[in-house]
Amino acid sequence: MLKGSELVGRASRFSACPCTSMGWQSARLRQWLSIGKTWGSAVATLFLAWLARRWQLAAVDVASAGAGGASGLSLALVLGTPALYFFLQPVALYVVYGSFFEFMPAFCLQHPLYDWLGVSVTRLTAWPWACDPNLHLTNSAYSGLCDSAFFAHMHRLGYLKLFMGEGVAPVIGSQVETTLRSCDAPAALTTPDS
Amino acid sequence: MRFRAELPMMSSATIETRIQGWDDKYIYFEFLFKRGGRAAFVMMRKVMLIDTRAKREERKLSPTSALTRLANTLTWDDAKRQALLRAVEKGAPPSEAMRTLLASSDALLSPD
Repeated sequence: MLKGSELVGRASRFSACPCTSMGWQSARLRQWLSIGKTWGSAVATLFLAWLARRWQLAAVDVASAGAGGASGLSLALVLGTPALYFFLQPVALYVVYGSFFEFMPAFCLQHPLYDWLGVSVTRLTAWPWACDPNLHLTNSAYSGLCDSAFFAHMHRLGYLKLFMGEGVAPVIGSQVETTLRSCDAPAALTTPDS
Repeated sequence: MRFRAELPMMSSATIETRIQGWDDKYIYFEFLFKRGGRAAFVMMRKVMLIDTRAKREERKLSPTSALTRLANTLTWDDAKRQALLRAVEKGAPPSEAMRTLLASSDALLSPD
């Protein structure tokens, strides 16, 4: 996490840049986005543990009523998720549009790219609503994140003007995904490597 | 697809997006997920740009014409625009492995 002194240093380091305030805001935004890494993860873990405990207790009642065979947590997730969306509609809306707000700095705060083969770096966080019950980033989120990174990269190349002015749109022909290495997750929760 | 790893909740990562090259039909993109400075996940994608305002038969844009139109949006910096146009003329073919991999995934959907 960035500290206050680092922010000041960062701002003064980029004082010659025409985007001085942008650099400072970007650092603040990144600081805000990474705040959940320490306190947020602890609070989220406790909250999820509490929810799982409640859901499992509810699932025991359902299972005793004749729905046996399903695991308690998965059944509780199936039953509990619609209720969560119903009672927390604003949260659900943020889940739907969350990637836009998350990647807004990638669209607004990056400089243009004047090289066809140049690289755009986009930062992401595995938020709880993008994770599966295994507490890892869900598989479908990878494609969504790649979409956001794709449009951020195209935006840096000047695509927005082409889209708005001339109606040029991208169409995906095909895509291939490959996962390269394991992450340091609890061994009991991970799928065994093939 | 082969999934052997995930990103744990609240972990941070970066996506490095780059154009690997283009041929006469598609632009090839590579998305490299890095966590802790190490590569964790790669997605390769080939994209065709279409002109939604053209007639149906003329919608498909070749990468060369699409990148030329993209470079011509830089009306405020002629030197950089000329450099981009020269790069388009020079071309950047994608790696054969990438082209083969994406073509093999296309073959799965062929009618035969």
